[in-house]
Order: sequence, then C-alpha cells, then structure tokens
Amino acid sequence: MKSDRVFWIVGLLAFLLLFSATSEQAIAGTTGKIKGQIVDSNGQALPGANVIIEGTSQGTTTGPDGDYLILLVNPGIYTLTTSMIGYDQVSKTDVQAIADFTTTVDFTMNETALEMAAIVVVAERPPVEPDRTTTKYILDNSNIEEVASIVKDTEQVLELLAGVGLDGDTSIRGGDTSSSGSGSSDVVYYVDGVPMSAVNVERRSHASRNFQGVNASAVQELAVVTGGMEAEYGNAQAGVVNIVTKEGSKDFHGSLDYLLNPAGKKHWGSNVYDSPYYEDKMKWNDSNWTGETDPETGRRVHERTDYTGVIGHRLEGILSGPVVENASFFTSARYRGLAAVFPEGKQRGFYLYPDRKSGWVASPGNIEASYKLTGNARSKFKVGVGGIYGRSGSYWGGSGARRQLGRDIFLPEGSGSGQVKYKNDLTYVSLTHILTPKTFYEAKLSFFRDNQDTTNVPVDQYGEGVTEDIRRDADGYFTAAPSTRTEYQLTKRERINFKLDFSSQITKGHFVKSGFEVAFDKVLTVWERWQSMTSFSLRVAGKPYTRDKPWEPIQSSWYIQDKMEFHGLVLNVGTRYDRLDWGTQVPQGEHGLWSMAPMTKSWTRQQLIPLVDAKALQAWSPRVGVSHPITDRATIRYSFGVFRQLPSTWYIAQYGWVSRARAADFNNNGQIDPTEVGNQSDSRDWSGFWDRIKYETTTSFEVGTDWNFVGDYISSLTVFYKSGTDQFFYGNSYWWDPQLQAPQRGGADWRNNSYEDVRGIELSLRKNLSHGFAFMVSYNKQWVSAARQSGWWRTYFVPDSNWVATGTNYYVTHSRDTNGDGQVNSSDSGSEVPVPLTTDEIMEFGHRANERLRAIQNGAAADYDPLKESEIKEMEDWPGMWSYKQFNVNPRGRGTAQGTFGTERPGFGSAVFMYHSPTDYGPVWSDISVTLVYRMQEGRARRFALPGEPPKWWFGPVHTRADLAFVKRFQLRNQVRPTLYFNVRNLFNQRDLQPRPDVDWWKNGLDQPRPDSGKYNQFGDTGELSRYAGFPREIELGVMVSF
Amino acid sequence: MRRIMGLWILLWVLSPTAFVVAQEEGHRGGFGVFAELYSPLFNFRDMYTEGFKLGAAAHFVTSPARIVEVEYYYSKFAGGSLEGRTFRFKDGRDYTSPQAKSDMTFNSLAVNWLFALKDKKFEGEGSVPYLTVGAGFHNYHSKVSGLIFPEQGGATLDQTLLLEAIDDTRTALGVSGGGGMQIFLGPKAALDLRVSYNVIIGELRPFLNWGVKKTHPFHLFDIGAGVKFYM
Repeated sequence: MKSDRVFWIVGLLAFLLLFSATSEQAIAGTTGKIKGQIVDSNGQALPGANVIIEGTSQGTTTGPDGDYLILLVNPGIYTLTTSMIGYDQVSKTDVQAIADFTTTVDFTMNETALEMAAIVVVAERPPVEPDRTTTKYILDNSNIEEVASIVKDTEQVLELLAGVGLDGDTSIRGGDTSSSGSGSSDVVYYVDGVPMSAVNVERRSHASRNFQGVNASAVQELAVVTGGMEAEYGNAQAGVVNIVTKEGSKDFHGSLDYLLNPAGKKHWGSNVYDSPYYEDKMKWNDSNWTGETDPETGRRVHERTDYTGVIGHRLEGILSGPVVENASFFTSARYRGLAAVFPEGKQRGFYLYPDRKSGWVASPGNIEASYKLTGNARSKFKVGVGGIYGRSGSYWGGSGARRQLGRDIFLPEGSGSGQVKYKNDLTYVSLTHILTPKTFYEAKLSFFRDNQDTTNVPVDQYGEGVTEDIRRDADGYFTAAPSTRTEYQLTKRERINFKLDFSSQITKGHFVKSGFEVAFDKVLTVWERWQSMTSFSLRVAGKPYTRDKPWEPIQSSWYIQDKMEFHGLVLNVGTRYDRLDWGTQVPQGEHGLWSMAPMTKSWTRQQLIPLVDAKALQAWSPRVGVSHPITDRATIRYSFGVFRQLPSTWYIAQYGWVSRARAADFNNNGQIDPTEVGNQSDSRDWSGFWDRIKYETTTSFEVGTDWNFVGDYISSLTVFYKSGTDQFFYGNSYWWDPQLQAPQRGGADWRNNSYEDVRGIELSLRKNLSHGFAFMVSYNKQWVSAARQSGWWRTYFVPDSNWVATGTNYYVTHSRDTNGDGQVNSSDSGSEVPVPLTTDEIMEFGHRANERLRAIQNGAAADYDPLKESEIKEMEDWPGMWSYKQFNVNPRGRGTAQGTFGTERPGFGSAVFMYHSPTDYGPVWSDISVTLVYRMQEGRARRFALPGEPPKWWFGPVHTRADLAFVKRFQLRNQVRPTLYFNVRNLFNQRDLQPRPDVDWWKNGLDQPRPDSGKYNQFGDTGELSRYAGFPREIELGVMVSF
Repeated sequence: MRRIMGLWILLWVLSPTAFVVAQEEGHRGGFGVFAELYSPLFNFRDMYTEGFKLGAAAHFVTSPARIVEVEYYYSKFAGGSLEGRTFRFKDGRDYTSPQAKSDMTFNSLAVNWLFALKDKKFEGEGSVPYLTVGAGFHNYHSKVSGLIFPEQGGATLDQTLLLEAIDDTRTALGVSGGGGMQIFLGPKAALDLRVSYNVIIGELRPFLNWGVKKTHPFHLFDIGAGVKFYM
C-alpha cells in the first residue's frame, strides 16, 4: 500500500541519516536551556571560562560578561563543570534540565596558586521555576518510578497531576474529552515534540487513546500544561500533554516487570449467574432448563462459565544499549492479558479506562511498544528517529453477536462475527541544525497511522449484509447460539506531518521562536450495520458522497513567540495562525437540507447533490504569559490566550443512512449492481460537511502563584476562567419543499452553536523526596455553565422561483431509463436520473415557493415567529436560496455549576504519599517503598424539584479510592536488581454509587430500590451489577528484574 | 475493614525501632492519652451535634521545638437529628419516625506535627505554646435506621413500611490544624491542652425529604486535654 511505502522510505532515510551524519537526539518542545554567569571570588565576570555538561558533548564558553548559555539540553539531571586556567575547577551536581524551561546555574571560581584543584558542590535547584508563565506540572523519570508499581499506565500517571480529570479521559479543567460532546478531545498530545493522532481524536476509534502506546517505563519526562499554552501549540482548547521518552544508554540496561492479577470477582454484586439482575430468568434448579440443548448444534444452551477464575497477566519490559559507537537505542514494550469483569466475547484483554474497569478491549493478543534511536553529536547536525507501535483486537457487534452481559451471556467465548483488528503506528524523524551557539532550527517529519478493520464479516453474493434472526432458548429469552451478523467498522486515519521551528536567543533578554507546520490527512470511517436481512444503517466519514474514498484535508499553521526576560520578569508573547484547506468540494448549502429533500434522500440520489468549492477555515490566536518573582522562593504568573480547535472529523465529515429494505434491482438484470446499492435507503441524522463551520474557541485567563514556603514543600495555586464559544453541537435544518408545501426536517447538522464557561481553582502541594518521604496533593474545584444548542440552532431554507426554474436544482421525479430508449431493462445502468420539471411544474412550484417567501417576509406565515427567528435573507453564496434561523430560547443547558458536555465533576483531586527506607537499614528493612495513592471525585448533577420549590441542580455522591503499593528492592552482587512488590487496589474496599444515581438517593437516602418496589421485594436489587462505581478490593503481585 | 485498620495500627505501633532510633539519636519519645469534645460544623450539624473523642498517641521529639505524633482516636456522635425530624406525606401532614436511630462513629489514625512557638522548647519545663498541623485517615460509619418511607403509594401512611438501614461508611483522608499548650508537670510528663479544626473528605448522603442536605466534606472543631509522658 502507498502508506506502507511511505512508512518504509521514511524509516530507511532516517536510518541512513543517522549513521551518515551525527546525532544527538534533540527535539524542541522537548529540551530545556541551562544558562548562568561565572564570576571570580571578587564577583568579577570571567570571560572565556569553559562550561561542559558531564557525560555529553554539550558545552560552551562564557562571553565577555561572564554569561553562558547552553541550548537543546535533554530533560534530566546533570553535572556541570567549569574550568579555566588559573582557577579551581568547579562542578555542580544535581542540575536539572526541564523541557521548555531555563535552569540558571551560576559559578564562582577561585584562583589557584599551584595546580587546578577541583571543587564539587551540589547545585541548589530553584525551588520554583522562575520562567513558568503558565500552569504546568512536570513529572520526571524519578517521580514516575516512585509510583511505578501502583500506577502502571501513562494516563494514570497523568491523573496524579492537578487539573487532569480522574475519569480516565484525561480531560483538563473540565474540557471536552474524547468520549463526550463534539467527540473531540480538547487536549493535544505530543511525544518527543511530535503531535499524536490524525485530525483530532474521536470516540469511535480506539486511536482516540493512542497515546497509551507510550509505556510509563519509557517516559523520561511528562509535562501537562493546564493553563495557557504557548503559540507553538495549537488545535487544543484545554491543555497539552508533552511526553519526552527516554534516551538510549552507552551500556546495556533493561528491565522486565511482570504483574499477576489473581482470579476473583471484579465487580460489585453477586456472581452474574445468580444475580437478581436476571430476575427469574436463571433456573438453575430446573433440570429441563439446565439440560436444554440447541437443536441445531446440540450444544448445551445454559452453561455457567468460571469467568471469575481467570488470572490476569501484565508484562512490560525495556531495553537500551549501544548500537554502534556514538549511537544507542531505547525500546519499551507492554502486553496486557487481564481478566474481563463480566463474561465477554474474549475473557482476556485490557481496559481503555483501567480505573473504572470499563472500555473492555477483548484482545488476548496485544502489544504496545515504543522505540528510539539516538547518538552523540559530532557536528552541528543532530538527527533522531523514534516511534510507537500498537496492535490489538476486539469485537464489534451488537446483540447476538458475541458473549456479553444480558441475553447473550450463554454464548461461547470467542464466538460471533465481527472481530476487529486495531493498528496504531507513529514514526518520526527529526533534524536539528545548530547554526550558531544561540540559533538553531528543527525539522520534524512524522507519519501516523491508525487503522481499524473488522474481519470475518459475512456478506451475500451481492456484497450485502447477511444477518440471521437471533435464535433464543425455549423460554425465548437467552440467546441460544451466536447469530450471523453483518456489522463492521473500517477506520483509516493517516497523517503526514511536517514541522519546522526556528529558535534564536537573539539577545540576552529575547528568545524568539517561530515555525510552521503542515499536516496532510486522510480520514475514512465506514460503519455499516445490518440489524436484520432487510434493515441496515450506514455511516460514512470520508470524501462527500463516496463510500470508500478518504477525506484529505490539509491543516497548516504558523506561529511566532518571544520569551523576554527583564530582571526576573518573564514575558511570553506570541500569536498563531491556523488554517484548514478542505481538500474536497462540499455540498452547496448544508447537507442537512439535501438529506431530507425527496429528490436527494437516498444514498444513490445524493450523488446528484451539487458540490462547490469550499472556503478555507482560518483563525488567529494571540497568547500572552507573564511570570514575576515575588521573593526568591515565590513567583506569580498570569496568562491570557485564545485557543482554537478544529471539531472532530467524525462530526464534520459523516453522513448516515438507514434502509428498511434491501437494494432494489432497478434494471431487472437479476443482480444488484454497484449503482443500485443503497437505493432504498433514507438519509438520517448526523450530517456534516459544511464549510461554514468555525474553529471551536476558548478564551482563557488565569492567575497563579508558586511558592516554596518551607524546606522542599512547594505549593501552586491557580484561579482560572475559560470561556468556550462556538462549541460544536448539532442543530437541525429544515427545507421547505415546493411540491409538498411543507417543511421537511433535515438531518442533524453539526454546527458551532454551543457555549461553555468554566471557572475554577486548581491547587497543587508537593514535597520532593527527602528524608525518605515525599507527597503530592492536587485538587480542582470548578463551576461550569454550559448549554448545547444555545444559539441559532435551527436553520430554515426556502427557495424562490428563480431557484426552482433553473432546471438543474429541483426535481420531483426520477427515471430509471438511463439510456433513454424508453424502456427499463438490463441495458440501463441501474441508477436513477432526475426528470427535468415541465413548464407547468416550474410555474406551479415556483409560484408556491414565492408565496411561501412572501408569507414569511410579511409575517403572515403561521409557523414563523419574528421574535424567535431572524429575518429571512437570500444567501450570498447561493442565489435563489433564502434562509433564516431560529434562536433557541430553551437551550439544552445544564444551568450553572454543573459540568461540560461529558465531564461533570465539579471537584476532584488526588494525594500520593511515598515513604522510602534508607539503603543502610539492613538486608530486610532497607530499600523498601510504601506508596499510597488516594483519589477523590465529586458526583455528577441531576436536576429535580422538591415539593413547592423550583427545580435545582443537585450533586451526586462522592467516589474515593485508595491504592497501596509495597515494594522491596534487592541488590545482588552483580548488576541485577530484583524487586518484589504487591499492590492493593481499593485498599479500604470502598463501594460508592455511580456518580449520578436515582433521585431517591437525594430525597430518601436510598441507594437501592424503594422498599415498596414489587420487583425488589420479589427478586432483590436487579440493578446491583451496575449500581456501584469502581471495583472491589484486589491484590496484585509483581516481580521486576532490572540490570 | 477492622483488619485493615488493625494493620495500620500495627505498622505504626510496631515502631519500637523508631523509638530505639529516636533514643539512640538523642531524641525523646513517649506516649499519651487524650479526651476531646468533637463538634461538627455547617451542614454536618444537620445530622449530628457534639460528640466525644478518646485517643492515644505516640510522639517523637525530632528537635527541641518540634514533635511528630501518631495518634489513634475513637469518637462517637449519638442521637442524630434524623431521630426527631419530620417528613411531609402527600396528605399534607408531617410525621416523625418513632423507630428512627442515627449515630456515627470514627476510628482515626493521623500524624500531627507540633511546632513550638515563641522560642520555647519541648524540654520538660514550663509551658510551651505550639501550632499543630496534621493529616490522617478516618474510618467512619454513619448508621441510620427506622425511617418511615415517605413516598409511599397508598393514600394513608403505612408506618410499618420502613427504609432499610443505611450506612454511610468510608475511610477518608483528613487534615487538621490548630494550636495548643503543653504544661510540663515535670521532665517526663506534661498536660496537653489543644484546639484544632478538622476537614475530612467524607460524605453523608442527603435526606431531602427530612430537610437534610448532603454533607461534604466534614468540618469539625475539637477542644480537649490530654497527658503526655516522655521517656
């Protein structure tokens, strides 16, 4: 395939460049700076002094004023050494470089009389980063390793940081997630400076979580920006997750981590086969029922399986080492074969949301891996190569297709059609060219692929679906055998991304960065489902009105930013330009209009919809951030910015149809020709492709302070306000049909008709590891007002007589005589051709159209309300077509203090406590770590009224969970270090209700059905399997070996 | 749950090594007991009013002006307000639940840091004012039973149709801050007077039909006295 060819060409090129040139991997957005001044014992500047970073080839010489600057320093802890003839050599250890920050290390050198003596001091880390102009939280490799036994996955590590939601969606400050709202996550992810995912994430694809492919063991530094992002980051409204992966090493190092998750019931409530959930449907005491067999297969229908007896496994390993001299590699891979909570299509796999044990991916075989090639610089060119690789599978299908809770619980494991294969790959090459010691540019080329395909899907001889009726047991309830079912989703998303950044420390106080980025995307999703032999639905997101051609938009951006430093004040100013070129023509007007007009309602007739050139989408986004020191241990910061984001491609580009009958053989040739496929379908819901959409926009303002108030205790407090406008949600189009003389409700067009406002407080308190103890506490409290369909949510289209009379716009009949011979037979193509209106029809329909128009203009139309609806006007880009809009006076909002479209957690937080015993406490008690992670989330809101009172919003129950890890490390005489650990998840076995329970919880304190409920008194709590959040306490055992 | 709490206590109390280390390093250690009045605040008072708090603590003098103590305490609030509250049935009349019972207990384990003020030291003489901050885990049970179900379907109230017993239980993280005074009665004993404000991230569910809103988090104030012995 073409994409594979590109993949290999890029990889080969990178490989050749690697060994022909140099390389120390250096990718911007992923490196920091070290600067400082060197003076003598009298405080006089020392020009010409050398400064090197030990263990690297990086270094520089001080200038006339004794200042030095080293750019492109990879995140990590270093030793800096200065030397100068006539002076004692000085080394400072524990110098930490952080991506996108400047570390200041000053030196004082003493004259030496006889020989150069060496002085080693420990660098005093700045308690707070003085150049932090936005809210940014950073975890380095050592922080991640401290919690590695209990926090296994990258997304779980992210959740420990303030501002990041705990629902597993990595929402930031209440922003949209990949499973909510417009389906587009407000967060952008970077790995080694390369953006992940193609054209925004969306919930219908596994790739919406592809950053999971970066294993926690591969992370060198993880940073989350929850406040204003600098101008170099775009296409996100809430924040940035920046992951820097580890470098290779000069010697071989590695580790293997195995975790055993013992068998056991992993859900609240009874064993499913005995649960009140099934009321009286399970008849284990009835020998006729237990002995029933399927007459077609002879298989016993009702058979219990030991779904709680499955042992789960998790294996993760890393390996790094030299490749050749001056080049090294790092690779990490992970396998997860955990047990499903309930009987599932396949009982081993993993969870997309491990903390909720939801989002089950039935994939006994799976792998997530990352790799990186690096080297030491020999010249001014630096090259890096890396990537992520993921493979897994699952099931795709509805009822009767696979084993699952409900009526399908007795289906055999592994049965059913519709098995899915997922492939997620990211490959990148970066080139850094240092022009001068203060100026460099970086170019990054990346290729991203996210594919999902369904296998073993049955189709008939015509390629149409084959779906059998579900066969039930003798009682007519449980599914006796897996039905043959046609349902599949094919998703192909690819992106070739090129980014060029130019950076220069122009003067001492100005660090300017500018760049541009262009992304070539291919997006195709086809989701087809046959509910029965005659009923199917189809949704496509791709090139308009095609079924197998991808949409190929081009996104480009340009930015410039200047980081200015004046006497401790840091000012970060920038602006960004974003643009979308559609790469295709789009329907004239709105697809929603055409979707319900009789003349273009079916899939085949929609091929006749006129397409026009699309206007490019473009926007500017200014950004400002300021940081000012209050004392040497405290800073205050402000940031303001406008952030744009393209809505999800799924909602921009999708079309949907349903059909109640199989395709008709229009040309009577005894087969369904390609031109006949879909000719009995109707267009339905979720229509897209409208070039009048805009970027979603969030204007964000925040004020924060960082304070190292005592010792190594650091607090951060931020107050923020975000105003989201032009948020994407659907509205409806209405087309007034002249023949029918009535408005036809069109499909739901997605449009920018919603808003959301978020105000909140974000608190972080941490103590770095010292004296064996460390902790990290974070808490977010937010107040949200949001309303869907809050603006002009309905659009009405009314043609005039000119439009009707063109002869090419409007039809009321179609003919199947495609060759014009007066007959319909096998010589015709099978498609339909529109029949032009007669003169009388033009006159009649044109008259009706004008009458309608005049009635609205004169206010005489009964269904037109000038108080709610705008003035009707002719569309500038569509002569002859008039439109007006209706303002939604009752938006589907959630009032105040509720939540955004998917994340309604008004408050959430976590606390991590770590204790580490000293290494000299004897063989038993030394090198022991105990880590406790405590999470808290407030409940979601429900609106109801108490007697005599107006409706109000009420918050639901809190959910808390504590996890404990106990780790014992051993040191053998060779370099091998075994480690044993055990984890206790949900240490206190806390059982909490789901975040939004029934109203009875608020009114009567009930978390179970009412005491007068007949069903409850007869069967017990039929909702017990889904009533509670989280999972019961479970213990995991692990062993890790590192060398 | 009790086993978990027991394990916690064991871990902390089994810190004789810590005692030994403290003594070997020249730091003093000891233990103490205390009793306090525990008073809920804000929404919490809709459910419960004052209760008592009894506990014991082990402490270590890590520096002359600083003490770290690990404390365990038990507290109880009996006779919650739901026992006497009324609800309105659809006939427009207000009813009590004669069999209603409501009480709450805490079993808590916390670590507190005491910081001596005014250049005073915990060295066995005089009075030492101090500030304290602490954090810990609090296992609570709030049990409510005997409430008549107010939203029954019948025209007349069936006073035998009761809600099932309800238990709000959680091991919640809490923090505290306050101040006090240690009055040394000799080099090895001191009277400890203390007040503190506690915030516990716990929750009591609402009973809106009885006019009780959700409580989250818990705000409590305590005041009391204890005795500390130094080894």
